[in-house]
Amino acid sequence: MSDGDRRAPRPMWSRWRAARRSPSTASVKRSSLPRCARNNQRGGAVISGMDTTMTAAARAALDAQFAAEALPQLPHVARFARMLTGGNQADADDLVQDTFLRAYKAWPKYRPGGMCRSWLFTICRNSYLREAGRRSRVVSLEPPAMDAEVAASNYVAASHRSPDLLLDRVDLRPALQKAIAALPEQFRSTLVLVDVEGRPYEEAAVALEVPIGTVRSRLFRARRMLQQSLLAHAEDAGYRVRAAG
Amino acid sequence: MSDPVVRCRLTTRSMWDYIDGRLSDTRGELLRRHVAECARCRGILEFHQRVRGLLLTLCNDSPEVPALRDRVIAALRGDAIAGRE
Repeated sequence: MSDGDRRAPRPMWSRWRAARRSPSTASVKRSSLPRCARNNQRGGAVISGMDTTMTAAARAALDAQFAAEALPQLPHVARFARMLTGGNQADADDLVQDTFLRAYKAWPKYRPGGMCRSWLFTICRNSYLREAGRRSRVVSLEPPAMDAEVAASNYVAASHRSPDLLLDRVDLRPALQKAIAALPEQFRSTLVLVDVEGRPYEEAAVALEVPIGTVRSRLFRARRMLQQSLLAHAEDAGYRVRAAG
Repeated sequence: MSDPVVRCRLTTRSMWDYIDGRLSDTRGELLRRHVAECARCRGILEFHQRVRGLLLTLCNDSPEVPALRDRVIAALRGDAIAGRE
């Protein structure tokens, strides 16, 4: 376990807690607000349950910022949540709702123009871990040490035996979803952020609250585990993957 | 670095960095040159790239968002009302 997993996660909230611009200077368009914000513009706080000193204009500005920055990230958060929950739609939807409620409450501490999507991913993952009770300690769920390229070598050997490329002949998407769901959480989150959501290492590191080196090593191991699962699936489908003897 | 075994090992170790665009130009060029002449490493690189490609296709699987969006907004509204009380 050399990837830094034993290190305690460093809180990254400070990155988002920088001073926000004055809400009173933000332009607020009523049409840009979500329904909740529009309704509350008429006479109440939306985000502001926690701050009774906030003016109506300031509350409206916060709502407008939330509508403009956070809500458009919902499809990404929804996909991330679905991956985290192993494809369970009901659990994923609950997780998304919980994520946005938490984000909404924390919104006054968010810095506009920051990495909103990563911020939401962090909230989503923490919420998932909290719900699943998996946050207590990072345990070693990794497979035993193996030759780094065994899976790839098996693929090469199998490809040589097959007239077509192995991955073209087996429908791997269902297997891929299943393999991702089976990954230990810290590897699954990293893989989904970088390889599915296309986030750069730096952003994934912020979202996961780990150093970039940890993102890289987790990613490589996750991919290796995934490749082995896919080859096992191909083998189950009747393709001879491992070298004879 | 004339030993072919060593060359293969170094190449396979840096393949994911290469695919992720995190390899320097010089090292990237060395990798490409080796892969061009080594069938085994070429196959491994191809496997990596195919798996990476498969993963990227998952990004197109968008969950049903409109209903979820309505649900989230309704929850936000409920939360806000509770906050005022």
